[in-house]
Amino acid sequence: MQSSNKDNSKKTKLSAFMIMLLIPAMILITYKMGIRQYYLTSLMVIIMTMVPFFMSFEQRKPQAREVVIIAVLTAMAVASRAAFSMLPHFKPLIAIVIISGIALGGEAGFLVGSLSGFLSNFIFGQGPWTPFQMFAYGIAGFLAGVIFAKKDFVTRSRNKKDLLKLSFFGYLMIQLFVGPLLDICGILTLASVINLETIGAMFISGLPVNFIHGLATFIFLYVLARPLLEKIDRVKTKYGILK
Amino acid sequence: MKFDSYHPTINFLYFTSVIVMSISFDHPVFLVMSYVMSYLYSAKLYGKKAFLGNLLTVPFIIFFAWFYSYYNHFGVTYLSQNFTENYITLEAVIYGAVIGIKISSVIMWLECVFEILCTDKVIYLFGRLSPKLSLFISITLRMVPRVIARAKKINTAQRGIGRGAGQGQIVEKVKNSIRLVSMTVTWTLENLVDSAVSMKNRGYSLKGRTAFSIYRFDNRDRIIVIILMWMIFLITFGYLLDQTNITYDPMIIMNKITPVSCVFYISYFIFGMLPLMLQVYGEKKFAMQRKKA
Repeated sequence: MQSSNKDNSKKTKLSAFMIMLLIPAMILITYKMGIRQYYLTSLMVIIMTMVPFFMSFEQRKPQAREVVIIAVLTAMAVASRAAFSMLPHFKPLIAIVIISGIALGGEAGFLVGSLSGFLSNFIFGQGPWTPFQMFAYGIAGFLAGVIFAKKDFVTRSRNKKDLLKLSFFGYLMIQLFVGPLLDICGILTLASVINLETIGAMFISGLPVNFIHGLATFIFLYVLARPLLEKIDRVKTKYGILK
Repeated sequence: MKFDSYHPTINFLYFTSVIVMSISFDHPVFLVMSYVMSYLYSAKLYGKKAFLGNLLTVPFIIFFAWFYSYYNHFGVTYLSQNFTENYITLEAVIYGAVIGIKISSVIMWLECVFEILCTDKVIYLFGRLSPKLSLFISITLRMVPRVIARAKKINTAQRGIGRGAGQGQIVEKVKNSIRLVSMTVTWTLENLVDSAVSMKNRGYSLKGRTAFSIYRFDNRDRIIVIILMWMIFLITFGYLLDQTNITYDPMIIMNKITPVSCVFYISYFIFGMLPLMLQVYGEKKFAMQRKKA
């Protein structure tokens, strides 16, 4: 599908490059001008990083079926977060995001992740953490897609060893990336003085939360990955989506 | 007439600017004003419950000031020593309270945002930037309650044959829940082709498609935009004149309050109270006309 829109993908790449230049420029400007608005600066950086992903979706002219299947997966991720609302931090959302990244590729994974973060916050409350959540979840889906998508994971997920690897990837993703990023958001919004002490305190207080979240992701990936991947694969072959 | 009867761009402009202002203004007058205004407006929108619930921010502010002063020791006015024999300073206590007030007023403004900016409006606003994405978001938003309703339906049917999600021992319960999830997923994925076909039949991906919206920009909106812009202009002017800033570290230093600074206070007051005033005015007007009729 992308090859038919070569101009568009070029445009997207160009804009991605521009943004890559813009981000350090903006950080430099805010630093030189002495504006100590850490949260606003990082917010801008995060929004700028997300823009190329959304732009590529906009310019790719996705088929109706493709749009709907991504929407279904996003809806399931949101519904899963709502269904487990009584257990704090024990959520299958990231597991579903990672699975959709694997099944549909990195870009779709990013969309599912970031938008399920955004939309589920309509239920749980939007706030200064929303863009950070969108970014963290989106990157989780994107990396899952980039790392696992090309290896025909549907057949490999029947193998216990590969499944364990995948689940462990999900756990690491939370513990090393998603969790710390949300902790950084907490530092930027709550701590007024940013030094090593406050950063350390925030990361340590985030550890158990991230552990529970990561454990949940591990368990849900182990349970859900194979059946979900098979179901998505079946629909893909049956109706010729994303081929 | 709530503030949400105005155009979504106005709602968006108003709330982003008012939240940015409440975050970035340190001056006590502005702080107290944004706290009181957000308190009043959320109480107006949600009634008694929010009025009482917002009272919880007061202990939060006190707690935060105490917490902050225990771990930050800048300032010149020493009050006492804490258990680790660090000095607790007046400046740190006050600055902690300032942060507490900021956080609570932003939370209260966000409460109002939830009430005013519904998902319809969010989609309308984003639709301008990215039509495909907003279509996608609206599909997803509709899909979530549909998935949940479908899961309930399946569960009801399964309960009939003794396999409901809540039936049996713990192992059975888990097994039944997994089966329920599996069935819901299969059904939803199979049905998505229907929606895709109907999208295509209604002209998805054809040129010249427009998105429906019930919002239009009328004269009433224009008046509000002009007022808002004037207020934002005046407040920005005050910001540039350092009227909204104050130094807490190491000493509390602030600019003198002059007659000119009252202009900025008044404009901030008008800006913050605008939605509340519009709502009260609209209600009064409606009541008057009802009496007449």
